[in-house]
Amino acid sequence: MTEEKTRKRKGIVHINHDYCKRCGICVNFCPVKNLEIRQQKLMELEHCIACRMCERYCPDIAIEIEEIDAKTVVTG
Amino acid sequence: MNQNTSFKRYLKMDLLPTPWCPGCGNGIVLKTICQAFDELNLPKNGTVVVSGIGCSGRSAGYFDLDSVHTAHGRAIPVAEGIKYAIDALNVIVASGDGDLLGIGGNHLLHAIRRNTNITVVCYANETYGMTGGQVSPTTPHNIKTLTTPNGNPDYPLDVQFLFKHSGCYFARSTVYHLNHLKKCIVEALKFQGFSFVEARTMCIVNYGRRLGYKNSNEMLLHYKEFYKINDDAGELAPNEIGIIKTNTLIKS
Repeated sequence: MTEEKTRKRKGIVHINHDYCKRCGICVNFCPVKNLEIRQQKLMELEHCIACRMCERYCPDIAIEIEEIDAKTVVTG
Repeated sequence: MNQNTSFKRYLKMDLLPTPWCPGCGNGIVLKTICQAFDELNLPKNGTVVVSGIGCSGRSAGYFDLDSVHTAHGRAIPVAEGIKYAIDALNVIVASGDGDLLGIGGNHLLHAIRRNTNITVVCYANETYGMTGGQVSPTTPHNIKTLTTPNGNPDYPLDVQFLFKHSGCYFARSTVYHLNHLKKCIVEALKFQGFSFVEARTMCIVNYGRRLGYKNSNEMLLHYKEFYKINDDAGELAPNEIGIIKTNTLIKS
C-alpha cells in the first residue's frame, strides 16, 4: 500500500532522450524529487513546479520546461 | 521562442549531443556563453568563435557562427589576427586551461601586453582531461592526478596576477554560480580591451574520480560551499570569485 498524496502540477518536463547522457545532475537539483533515473532512462513523475533548475543546469540542453495552468495530481 | 530557449539560435542543435562525458561541466559553460550572446543580441554574421585543442576545443564546432578550430595553444594569436583584419567583428576565444595557460601561455602574456579587444573564456577544469588527466598549470598543490600519484609537488598558476597593472579585464566564476558566470561573460563582451573569464568547470571522469568525488553533483556542491562571490575586490583569494578591472600604470 502506498500513501496517496495530492500535489500541484505546474509544468511539463520535455526530455530529449537522444541528447540526455543520464549524468543525474537534474535529479539532484530538483527540489521536489520530480525526476528519476529508472532502467537507464530519465523519467518524470508528473509533479513539476516549474522552477527550471533542471533546465538551467542540464549540460546537454536535453530538458525543456513547458509551464501549464496548475492542476492537482494524485501521486503514490 | 521564449526567453528561456532563445539562446538555442546560436547553437547547431542538430549536431548535439556533445562529445563530452556524462557529468562534464563544459556543456554548462557552452550554454552560458550562448545565453550571454543572446542577452547582448550579437549578430550571427558578425561574431567569430576561435578554439584550441582539448575537450573544450570541441565547443567551437557547436556554435552556429563562423568558427576556427586552431592548432594547440594558438587560439589567441588566430583570434588577434581576425580582430586586426576586420575590426567590426566580435571575436571570442573558447578554450581550456591547458591550451591557454600551458601550451599557449606565452601567447596569453603578449595578448595582455597588446590589450587587443577580444574576449577569452577559459574552461578551467584543472587538468588535461582529453589525454587522461595529467597535471596542468592550474592543478592545486598536493592534488593526485595521473602523472602525480603522490600529490602535485608544484603550486598552481594564479592567472589574476598576470593581469596586474595591464588595463585588462579579469573575472573568475564557476559553473555552479550560473547568473554570476553569465554576468562575467556579458561584462567581458562589453569591455573595450582584452578580457579573460576563468570559468571553473568540473571534470569528473579523469580528475574528480581520483579525488574521491562520486558524481559531478558532488563537485558542483563543492563549488557551492567553497567559493564566495566578491565583486568589489582588487584581488581575489583562492576561494573567491569575482570581477577585476585592472588599471594600467603605463601612460604615454
